[in-house]
Amino acid sequence: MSIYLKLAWRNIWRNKRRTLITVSSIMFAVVFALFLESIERGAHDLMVENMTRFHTGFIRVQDFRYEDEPSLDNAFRYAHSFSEAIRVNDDQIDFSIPRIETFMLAAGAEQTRGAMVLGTDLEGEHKLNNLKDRLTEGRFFESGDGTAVMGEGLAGRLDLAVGDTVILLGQGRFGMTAAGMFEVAGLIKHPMRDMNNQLVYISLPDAQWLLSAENHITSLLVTPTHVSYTDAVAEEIRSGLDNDELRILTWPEMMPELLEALKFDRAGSRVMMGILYVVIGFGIFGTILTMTMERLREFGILLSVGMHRLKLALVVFIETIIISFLGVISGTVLGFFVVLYFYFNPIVLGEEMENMLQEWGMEAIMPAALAPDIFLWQGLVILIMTTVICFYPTIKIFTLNILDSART
Amino acid sequence: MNLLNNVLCGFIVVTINVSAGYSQDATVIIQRMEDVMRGESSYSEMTMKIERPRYEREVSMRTWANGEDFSLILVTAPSRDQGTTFLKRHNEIWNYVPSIDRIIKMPPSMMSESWMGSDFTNDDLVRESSTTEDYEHSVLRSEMYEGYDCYVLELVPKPDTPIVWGKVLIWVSKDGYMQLRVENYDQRGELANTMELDQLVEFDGRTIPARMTLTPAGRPNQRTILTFQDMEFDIDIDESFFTQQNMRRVR
Amino acid sequence: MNMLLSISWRNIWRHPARSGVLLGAIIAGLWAGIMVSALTNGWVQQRFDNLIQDELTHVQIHHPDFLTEREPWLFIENADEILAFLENDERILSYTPRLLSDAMIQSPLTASGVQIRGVDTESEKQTTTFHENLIEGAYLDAGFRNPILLGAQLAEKLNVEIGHRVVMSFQNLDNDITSGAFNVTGIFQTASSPYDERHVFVRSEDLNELIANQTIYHEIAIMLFDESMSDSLTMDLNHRFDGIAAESWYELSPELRYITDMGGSMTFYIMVIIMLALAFGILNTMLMAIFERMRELGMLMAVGMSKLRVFLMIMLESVILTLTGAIAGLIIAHLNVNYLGKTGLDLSGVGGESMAEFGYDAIVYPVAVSNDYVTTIVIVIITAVLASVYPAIKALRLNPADVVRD
Repeated sequence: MSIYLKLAWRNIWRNKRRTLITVSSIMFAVVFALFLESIERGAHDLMVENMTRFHTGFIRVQDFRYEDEPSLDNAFRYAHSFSEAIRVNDDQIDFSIPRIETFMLAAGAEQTRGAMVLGTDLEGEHKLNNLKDRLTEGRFFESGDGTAVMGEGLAGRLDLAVGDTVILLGQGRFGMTAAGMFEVAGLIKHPMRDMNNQLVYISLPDAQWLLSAENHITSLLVTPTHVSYTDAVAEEIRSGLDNDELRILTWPEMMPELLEALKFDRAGSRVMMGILYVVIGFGIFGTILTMTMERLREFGILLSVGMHRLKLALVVFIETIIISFLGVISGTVLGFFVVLYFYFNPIVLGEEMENMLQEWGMEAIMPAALAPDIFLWQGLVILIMTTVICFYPTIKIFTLNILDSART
Repeated sequence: MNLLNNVLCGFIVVTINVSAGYSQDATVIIQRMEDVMRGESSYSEMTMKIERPRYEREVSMRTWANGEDFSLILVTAPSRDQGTTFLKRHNEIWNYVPSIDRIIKMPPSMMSESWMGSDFTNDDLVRESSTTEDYEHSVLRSEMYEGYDCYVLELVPKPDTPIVWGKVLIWVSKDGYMQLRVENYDQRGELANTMELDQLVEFDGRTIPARMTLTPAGRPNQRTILTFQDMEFDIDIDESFFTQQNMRRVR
Repeated sequence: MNMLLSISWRNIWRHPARSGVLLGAIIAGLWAGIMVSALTNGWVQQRFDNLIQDELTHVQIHHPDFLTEREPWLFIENADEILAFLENDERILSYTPRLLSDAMIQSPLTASGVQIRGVDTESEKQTTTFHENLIEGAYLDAGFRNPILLGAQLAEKLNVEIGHRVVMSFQNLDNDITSGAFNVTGIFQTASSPYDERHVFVRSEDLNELIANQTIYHEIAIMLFDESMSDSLTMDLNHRFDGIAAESWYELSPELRYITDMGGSMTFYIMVIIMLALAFGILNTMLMAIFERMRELGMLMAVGMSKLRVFLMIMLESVILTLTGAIAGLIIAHLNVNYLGKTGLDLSGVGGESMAEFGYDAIVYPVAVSNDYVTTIVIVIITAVLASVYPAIKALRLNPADVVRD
């Protein structure tokens, strides 16, 4: 066996240029396949992340009754120890935000409108969706200072400006009347018109006081350090909680339509991937085919001087396998650096996108995903593809007519 | 059947426009039933007990009503809500909250919300169910109910009428024409909620059920109970009483 | 030159296998390039259409304050004039006026806040594809009295089914609350369940009767022949008519714009990668093929062929091969795109099937525009020719004696 290996090895280095071209064709195939999937995954991850941060958050802990009946009656007890409890030994959790969400009436001097009141932790919200950047006037509240920040649209409808008083009226926990006056500390511009016309932010302690819901929240938003940890973190919270009245929802459950849209995109990307495989397959096949033809004369001579066809075929097969491995390994290494580069220096989308996304608190970039499974799978796919192609010279040797080959 | 509106307006009856009925018997019964209670204006004191799986809450109030279009409700207990008033003028509701000293008109978007945490919605306060050309009615049977010999009437809404029920059953006592039970059914024929009226008491010369219990179907441990402590009929009150100024003043 | 041409021609046919490989690489490259762009076009277009044709449309007209205030009296005052203008504008494919209202919907079980969309059944059907979202029952034009379409989520929440009556209360023009009974004739399901829970559809004439004693519209939705016209149309409309605001789809739904732009950019980069891979494939095959011929070229030079002629010969061969391959590839790709353009490419096999339930089409119809053909051909020809220049130059530097010996 080792003699064939040695022969094959020597053959490979006998014609360095030829080997180099073949290796490079495989190498680039790997790089392109890796890059394509990393970009695709990176863009999707970012989209999921952006949409999730913007809309629902990644993981939501709430009372199991809250989903069907989103009323304050279905708030749950939340103390500091609670957030400590779910954080124990978990470096996959980045931060969590306790929230009280309820629908109330907001009134100015003359006008009254329905409003979505969000009692929350400002720092957490900012970490989740850059809330502070949406401020257009005034300032944000301090925890418990009795001031509110509201959407420009709602403020306009109620004829309120910074410094005026907004009245919030509604129902607190267990049917208690909730009524309070809040100074408008600042205005925000929410990119979604509906939200801009409805949102009122107050600090969590203020909301708990207003709604007679001391130590209670309607939902806890947990943000993992990476979107891919969502399920693991959700599972950990689930097992760590001793309260079986709480439900843990993850973003795919909260935004099934986003997941569906992603599936649609993924299907398209897979078709693209298929076309890429055809292209690189042809590239590799072209080089190997030409290489084989170039060597037909050599094979003919070897066979005519008495070398056994099986042995020759074996040597050539080993050669091509070595070349494939060289190609795939060098491709993976080069691909790693390419992906790494685009991971740290994401593709920047046009200025138009940038202007639009700024309003949403998102960056107009498309980073590459750095995921080990991509390297594993793409490397494997191309290795299999090349191995299949490598049967060509072997088959050719078995069917070679010695006389014909000597003539070329 | 809009019971809350009727309660607040002082008619603890289902008011049906007599001319529309095709069953003479049923029409006569309903007419008698209305006569038992009819009064142009009224004053009452009552308690509303809200029962929920996880809590109970009791609200005491006084109400003044003039016809179907005007009523004023003053909350007297619990202390946190004391002084809160609701004013109904035609189909608008106004709410005064003393702690913020503001009168706020309930916007349409809030109409589907629960009224003070009860099984009634804000819309129940203003919905005019007295446009009673809306039902076809007939006598279904006679039976004993809670010791009273009762007619059981069936009311079916006419097409295109803004009524959600598939049908309504009403139990009326043959003696005294008192309404004792109402069952509202959905369009599949399944029970949606039940109103029971009991504890007969004489107020201001009329004997009426002083307690009404509204039980939504399929919601265990949940109901709303209204109990009258006092009631006066045909009091001296007119439209000028039902003003925003009075919302703050009334005691 | 003539002689060179004939030598090149003969060279090509003397090595059918080698020429075949090169032709194959070029044909595959061209096919892939055109397929990718055609699929991308079809994809982006369809994705956009899926999202926009449902309801949003390219351009919408409202009273300037309507979308903020949503009050019934903020209707389009000069609707007749605008509709007449739209009827005669050549950019417009179709349009439909709508009557909108916020309402409370009631069933025996519960009450819920909804937005009513009063539509003109005939023009709505021509303008949008919303009626395709119906999963049960009949559309509004089936001849029932006061028909209403509910989303599946809402029907479940209200616990009503087809044939049942629901009651809706809303404000009329005089700011009074009025109620009306509607009969559930159909259930729809879109890709978004929150949408399904908050929107109901009725005939605009039924709603109009309850809201106003004159015909009013709050929204006019317009589909164009070409999306790129939306800006010019909104400008014209805003300029020509007072008291309205015409907005294009991306102003109305920045979120949709984010999704389409992001998807569009991504497919663009995917295309770039495939084009690069294609160029590399051709380059490698060309390089390999020419290095294989070094011996032959050395021989030609040894027998006295000038370097320039050898260079020209190689280039000529490449050009002939490339052009032949390009023409063949073009024909194959064109036929393929045309075929798929009719039958569509079914994505169900690669994970697209779940979309069908949500009214998305899992079949992509590639669309090739002449631009894509040109771009792809240019890329392929340039790569192929460039790929042969390097080894051709290399051949010029050959020492004929060395090559022959090797």
